[in-house]
Amino acid sequence: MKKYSIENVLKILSYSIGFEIFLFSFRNVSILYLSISLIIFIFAIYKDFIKYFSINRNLLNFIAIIFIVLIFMRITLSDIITPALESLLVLLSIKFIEDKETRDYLQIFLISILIFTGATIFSFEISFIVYFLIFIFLLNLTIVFLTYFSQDKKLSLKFNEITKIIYKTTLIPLISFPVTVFLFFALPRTPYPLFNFFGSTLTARSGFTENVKLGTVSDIQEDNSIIFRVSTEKIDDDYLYWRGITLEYFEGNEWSDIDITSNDKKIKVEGRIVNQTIYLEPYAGNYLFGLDKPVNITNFRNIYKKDDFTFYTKEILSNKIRYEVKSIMTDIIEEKLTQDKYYLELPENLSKEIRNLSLNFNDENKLDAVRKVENFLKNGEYKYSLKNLPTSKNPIDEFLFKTKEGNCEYFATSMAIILRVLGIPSRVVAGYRGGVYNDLGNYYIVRQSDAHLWVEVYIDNIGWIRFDPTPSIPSEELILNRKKLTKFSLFLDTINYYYNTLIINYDLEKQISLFNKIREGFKKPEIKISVNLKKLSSSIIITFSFIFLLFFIIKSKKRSYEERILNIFNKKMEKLGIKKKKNEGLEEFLQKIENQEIKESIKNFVIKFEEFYYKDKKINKEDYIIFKKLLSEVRISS
Amino acid sequence: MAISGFFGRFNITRIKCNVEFPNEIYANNDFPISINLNNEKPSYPVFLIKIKIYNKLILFPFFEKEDKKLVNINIPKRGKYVLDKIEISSPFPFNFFVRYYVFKKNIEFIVFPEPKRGFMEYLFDRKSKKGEFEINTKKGYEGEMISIKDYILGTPLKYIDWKSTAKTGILKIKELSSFIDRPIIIDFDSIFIKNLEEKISLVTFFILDSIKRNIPVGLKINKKIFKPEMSLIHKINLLTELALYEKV
Repeated sequence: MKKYSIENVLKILSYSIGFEIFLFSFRNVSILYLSISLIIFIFAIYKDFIKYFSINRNLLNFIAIIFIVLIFMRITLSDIITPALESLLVLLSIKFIEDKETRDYLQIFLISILIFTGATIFSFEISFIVYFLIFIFLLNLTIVFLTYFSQDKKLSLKFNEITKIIYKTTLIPLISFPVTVFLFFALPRTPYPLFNFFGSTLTARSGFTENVKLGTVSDIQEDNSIIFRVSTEKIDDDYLYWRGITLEYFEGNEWSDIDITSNDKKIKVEGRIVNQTIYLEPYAGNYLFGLDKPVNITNFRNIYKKDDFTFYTKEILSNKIRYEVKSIMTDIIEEKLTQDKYYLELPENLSKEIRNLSLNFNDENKLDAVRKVENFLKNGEYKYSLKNLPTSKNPIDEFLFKTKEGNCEYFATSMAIILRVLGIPSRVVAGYRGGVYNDLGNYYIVRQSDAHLWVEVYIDNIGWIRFDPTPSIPSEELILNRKKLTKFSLFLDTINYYYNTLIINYDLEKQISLFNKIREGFKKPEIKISVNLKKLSSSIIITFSFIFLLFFIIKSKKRSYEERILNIFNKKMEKLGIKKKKNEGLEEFLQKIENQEIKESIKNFVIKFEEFYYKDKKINKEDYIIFKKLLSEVRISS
Repeated sequence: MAISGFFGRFNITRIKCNVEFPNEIYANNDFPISINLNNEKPSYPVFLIKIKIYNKLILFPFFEKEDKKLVNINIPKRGKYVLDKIEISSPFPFNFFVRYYVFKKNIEFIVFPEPKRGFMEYLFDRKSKKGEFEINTKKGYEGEMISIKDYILGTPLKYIDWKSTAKTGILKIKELSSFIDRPIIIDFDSIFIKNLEEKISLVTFFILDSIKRNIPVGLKINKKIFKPEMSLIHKINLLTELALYEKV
């Protein structure tokens, strides 16, 4: 039965690990370093499997050091990870091209693990778990075969023996996983991607802030990522408004949130209570969302509530957070408005056309007037679109009279402005509309593309009433702009959801913000250091280059052990009065010697030397000493 | 780490180790010991076991139920030996730890003296310089044909050489040599060779060589007398006696 060498099995497994590392990290490193390391890696495969050639180890070390220094020069404290990953990737590929001993394999594994953990900072998705599992299984097998290799480098086994070793030792990670999972639950965990202490390179999602420029929402809507997940019962789609901010002040093309304290102490909402647990992804804002109308948010620190049923914190929500929301499902907020001037304020440069248009909807019954405006926008000649949005100085004019196409921002703004012209207090609410209910985990997935603006109108004796003038989105629009959530992606998201709900330890955040503060403290002297670093590292490069050059020169001058032995031999022979000609072979020379005593004693040496010389075996230091001793025994007994 | 430790431990437990020695072991000569490992774990194979015996390491890379390996051992001096322990170790699975375990054994074996050629040369040194045995001419019925002679009454029919009978017209028979030579008894104590070990080695070779040549050999040693014989047991007995010989 054919036998396979363990060394080859080990090589194949190691290269698989290297390959996986490339697959996993290629998105996070620059194309330059990726291609350099990939070329070296492919070269290494060629060397190990197709045609062997030997490369000077010192030269490789020299190249590796140059790369590290080059990358070191680019390091800033705000982004340590990318240069570190790049240098590790280059180092890994250089390690592959070396002639590999046991310790070289161990170094390969160590570098792989470092790259792997480093790359998790960029990606902490479900795919990570798949990569991780493959990595662990491969690593396990490789170390097992490395153990074999370390015991006997020439060992070879039958195919079925190798498969059995693979199959049986896979049990080790299989058992390790449950144990690790147990420990994982037992130890504190972070909402950060692992080891994300060095300043995140994650781009926080865009989101609602206290100033909403027209066009902001469409930017948000183009993002298909998830903004929050809501664990709650299934709710009628008509009520799926996730309240975020109310916007009161409009100037030109931008809405702003202004703090208006109500004098009415009896603001109330009535209706069915719905409780939700919301898992909010980090975004560049500080508002907390809840099903319209949220009355109470708990389980999160430093929450402030406004009279208009919006909630915010004083810090930017750059971490995953979890909070509980209690909402009352109603369209109406009962309030006696005392400061209506804010809600009637119009932009200074409001055009005559808008004023004239508004007057068309005047009605004694204010509610009827509001309905007319809503109907005009929603069911009239205006079309929903995310393309070619008006961007001129007077975007609302452009929308109402020229393009007649726009998204919720234009519809809601138009309605609010028209109503204000008519003397009806109104404001715009920003949040999210709708969401996909995942039956697998009983939760709503709300994505950035669900971002929405709607209008709240104040009617005397009733209060604030919600109106949504935006026409329902036509289905083509859906297909174009929104990635459909397939069943499979819902399934994957369920796992993400459980990761959020079960695994992230949200209380750890305080510790981490403390850590971040400490880090801030370290960050300050950054500029000075980086300037010095550049000078320092270039001088390091130059010094190292010189040292290595010197080293190589000395090394090349230094003769090999073979040459040195022959030299000693020649000198010895000359002393004994026999001279070996330059092109004379050792055997030939031996035949020539007449003195039997010398002949015998040299014979031993010649046989031993030829054993090395003709078999292309390298003479190392120990052999050299033996040869020297053999030669010193050659003498004429007088 | 803990789990790898557990696997390493599990790997070397429930293994039985049997050692077999050859019948004849001679000092300063390599002899093979067969090491037999049996895995008593019902469904898990054994990985990467190393057995240490007389400072020799034998690697068992992988086996399921049993594996057998031979290892050449060399013991320089004759005498009685006891194999009291066999060390079994394994770096499996990750080479983080090397697990080991010692089998307590009590295997006695005797190492016969190192045979050295030259006893005959020594003995015949003064008589003839040939240093070779004379051709064995003892008559018998099993060996090769020595000569042809006239028929003697009573000789069995199968010894009649029909070819020469036909040639000469007189009944001729074959005369064969005998396989069995004259028996020899070595009087160990009266042989004068100064170096005892040298003497024992020379005698050992002589005994082995004689038996190979079908010469029954006996030995007179330590006031014991072994009558000349050629059986295997006899040979073992003689060599054992020499192996354990100590000058009184």
